[in-house]
Amino acid sequence: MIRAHQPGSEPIDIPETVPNPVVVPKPTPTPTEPAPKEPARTPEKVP
Amino acid sequence: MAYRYSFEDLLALLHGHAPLQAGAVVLHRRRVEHGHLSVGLKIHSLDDGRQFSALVEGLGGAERILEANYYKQSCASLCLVLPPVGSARAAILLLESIENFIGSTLFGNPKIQIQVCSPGRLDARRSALLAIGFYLGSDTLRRYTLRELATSFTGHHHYPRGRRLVLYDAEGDFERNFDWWGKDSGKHRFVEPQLPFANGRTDLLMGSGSRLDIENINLLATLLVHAQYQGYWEECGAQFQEEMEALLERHILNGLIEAPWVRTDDPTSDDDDGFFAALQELVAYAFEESVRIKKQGGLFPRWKEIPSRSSGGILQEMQSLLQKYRAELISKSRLLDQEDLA
Repeated sequence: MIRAHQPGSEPIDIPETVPNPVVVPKPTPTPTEPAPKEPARTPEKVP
Repeated sequence: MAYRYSFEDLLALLHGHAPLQAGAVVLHRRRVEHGHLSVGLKIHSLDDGRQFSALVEGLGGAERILEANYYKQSCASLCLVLPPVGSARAAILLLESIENFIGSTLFGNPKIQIQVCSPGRLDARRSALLAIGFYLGSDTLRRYTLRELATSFTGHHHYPRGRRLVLYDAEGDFERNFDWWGKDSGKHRFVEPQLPFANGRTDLLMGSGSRLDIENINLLATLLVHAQYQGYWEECGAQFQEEMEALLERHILNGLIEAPWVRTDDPTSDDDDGFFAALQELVAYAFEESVRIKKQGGLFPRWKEIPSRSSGGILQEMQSLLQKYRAELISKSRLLDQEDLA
C-alpha cells in the first residue's frame, strides 16, 4: 500500500494492485490422470 | 541464461512432489505450440528465499546454482534461473511443479517477482508495445516504483539495463534448439529446428505475476518478434502492431511509445525518469478506467456482453485484441496441420 500524505490532510491509501475488471478469472487447472486409452477394436469379420 | 544444472536433475527432483505436472513438463519441454516462441523464466525471491533451500541444495547448492548468476532484482535474496521450455503451457507447468516442491505459491505472490524471457531482441518501439500490452492485458493492474525495477545490472559497466520493465539479455548462455516457424518465398511455412538468432533476448520483469501474464507475454513477444525477424507470423505481427498503435492513438496515449521502455545501445535511452513518467501515465489511465468500469458495472451489470469498440475502454479493447490474435494464431496453425495431413 502506498500512502500519499500532506501535512494537515488525512492520509490517502493508494492500492498498489487492483484486479483488472475486464479479465474473467480462470479457475486454477488441477491436473488429472490421463484417461485410459480405449481398447483397440478389431472390426468383426464379415462372413 | 546461466543455469548450472541439468533439466533432467530438476525434473527428477520435482517429480517426487508433483509427478503429474513434472511428467507433463517432460512431454512439452521442447514442443513449440502454434509457432509461438519458447519461454525462459527467472524467479526473484524478495523474502529470505528459505523455501527454495531444498531445491537449490538438490540441484547442487547455492554456490553452484545461485552465485554463478550475478543478475538479480536489487531487493531479491536470490534469483533462480530455470531452463527454457517450448511453450507458455510448459512454463506454467514448470512453475506449478516448483510450487508443489517448495510448498508455497509463486503465482500472485507479492514476494516473488517472475521474469519472462523471450528469444530475440525487440527494437525500442516493439519493446514499448510488449510492455504496454503486458500491462493492459494483465489480470492485475499494478503500481510500480522505480526501486522495484532496479536490478544488479541497472548501472552495469558493460550491460547497463536501467530500471525498466523490459530488459535485454547480457549476452550470456542462449538455448537455440527450439523450433522456429519461418516462411519460404511463396509464404509457405517451414519449421527450422533452431531459432534464427544465435543470441539475444527480450525479458519482462513483470513483478508478482499470473499464468495469464505468461501466456500474454508469450503471445505478444511471438507477434512482435515474428514481425521484426520476418517469421511465419510476420503479417499477423505487423497487423497487431498497427492495431495496437491505433488503440493507443484513440486514447491519446500514442506518445508513450516514444518513451525509452528498454535500455538499448542508444545513449538517449539512458533515461529511467523518462520511462517511468510514461509508465505512470499508463498506470494512471488504466486505474482510472478500472474505476469507471466498476461504477458502470453497478449500472449495467451485463457490460461484458457489450461488443468491443473504440468506446469500450482501453482495458476491454486490449483484451479483445489479445483474444483476437490468440484465436487467429491457433486457427491458422490448425489449418496448416490439416493441410499437412491431407
